[in-house]
Amino acid sequence: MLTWLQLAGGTFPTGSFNHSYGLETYIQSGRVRSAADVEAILLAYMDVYIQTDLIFVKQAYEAIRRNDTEAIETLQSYYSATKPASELHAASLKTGRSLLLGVRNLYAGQAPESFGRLKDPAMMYHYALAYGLSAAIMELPFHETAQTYMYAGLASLVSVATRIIPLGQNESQLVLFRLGRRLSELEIDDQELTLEKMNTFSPGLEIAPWPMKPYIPGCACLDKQI
Amino acid sequence: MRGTLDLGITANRRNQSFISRMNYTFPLKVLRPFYLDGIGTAYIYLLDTAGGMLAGDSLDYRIRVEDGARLYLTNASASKSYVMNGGGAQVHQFFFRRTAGQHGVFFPEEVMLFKDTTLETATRIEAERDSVFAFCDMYACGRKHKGERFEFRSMGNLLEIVIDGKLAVWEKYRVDGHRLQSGQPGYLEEYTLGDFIHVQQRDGRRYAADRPGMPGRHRRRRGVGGLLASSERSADRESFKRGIRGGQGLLSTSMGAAAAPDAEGGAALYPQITDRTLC
Repeated sequence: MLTWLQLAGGTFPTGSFNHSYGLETYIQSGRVRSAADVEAILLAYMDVYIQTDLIFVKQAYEAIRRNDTEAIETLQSYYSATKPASELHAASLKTGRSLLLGVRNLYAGQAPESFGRLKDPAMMYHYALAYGLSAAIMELPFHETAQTYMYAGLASLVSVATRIIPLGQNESQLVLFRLGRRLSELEIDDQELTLEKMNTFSPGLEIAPWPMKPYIPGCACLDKQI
Repeated sequence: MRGTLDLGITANRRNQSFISRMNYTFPLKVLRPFYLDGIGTAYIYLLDTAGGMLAGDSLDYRIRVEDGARLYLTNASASKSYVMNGGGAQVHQFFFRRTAGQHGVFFPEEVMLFKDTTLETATRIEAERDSVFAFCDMYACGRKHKGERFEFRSMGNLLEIVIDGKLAVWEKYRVDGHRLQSGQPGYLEEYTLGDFIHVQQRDGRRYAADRPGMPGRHRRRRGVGGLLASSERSADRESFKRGIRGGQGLLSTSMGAAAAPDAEGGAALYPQITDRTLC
């Protein structure tokens, strides 16, 4: 329990609080203005996490438990391919690397053998994979792994909304409380968390992190006739 | 019906691309190429003479673009996936190029998903690092002027883009139409749906001078961008397509595209020029 609080409690130096994963765009465009709006959009994030990220958490968790580093590399390539938007891709890699480095530091001098088996010495693994790897390395049960992964992600986004909208502290805690209850009510079937069940359909969330720039009709590269 | 198309495009000595292999079965047909741009690109229209898909139908495309060839492939009208009482229709698309240096654009009109329809689409694109490729995949609701929105039963999509043997884009989803009704944030929201993916591979300004037989002369760059969402205003989409068609530089910059809601409640496509653009 205490280990989870440390890993997912927001004080662990992953840098995830620096990333809004598109939530900032929703707020700035006026589509998310209130605590109720935040709750609604974060339910969508939760839905998407379950059908995408959580699958990678689970698969990475299982792969490291059976010492299958090839599978981890394959998962890494699939995850990268689901994140063509460079902002999301970079954020996921940065936070994943920070998480793994942080966990490795916890074992200073006697890092678990599993770390040595990872093929990328720079530890540039996506956050979902890194979380699954870390949990498996620390021999933590998967159910709690899944719940804390989701909760930590939501807590991070609530924090973003609290700062940007802004929301009151009590208001934001109420949002987080409700989301947490929804999360605990979810019946997540571990056996369903396979790549076959992936569902990447979330166009709104995918577009949101992309910076908007206007169409420029006079732009040379658009008008140039070859 | 089970329509199949096997199409091969090759460039001749004058750099004009032509159909070197063609085999199709009902209901698909291929019109002879048009040459519209002065650089030998084969503009080819596909026809679906059946007018739409019903339960149990399938369409299978295999498109190959050979070394140095240029292809612009589209169809003459929107594809329709009609009401189905049970079962579903399938579309399989496979695009590949054998070596580097090809230029392929596949911009079909949108697929209209009517009420209670089920459609599964699988697309695989295999490209080389120095080829240029653009791919557009759009979905629209059925009779929207009768008030229908997305009321299809199920839509599944698998898209794989492989560059130099490495998976670059992987999109996999299956979505129920009822899920899109509520305007739930994060999903389609106010968009009327489209799904656009592009891959661009080459320096834009150099592209005009680039010809087969001159590989390695120009600075290369590679990029992959993806976007979902589109516009009710076809003019926007048309202008975007014209940009692709008329100035291949658009493809070649490190450009993505994004969609934003406009004042009319629709959405407009905005090419997103990054700091790596050559404009």
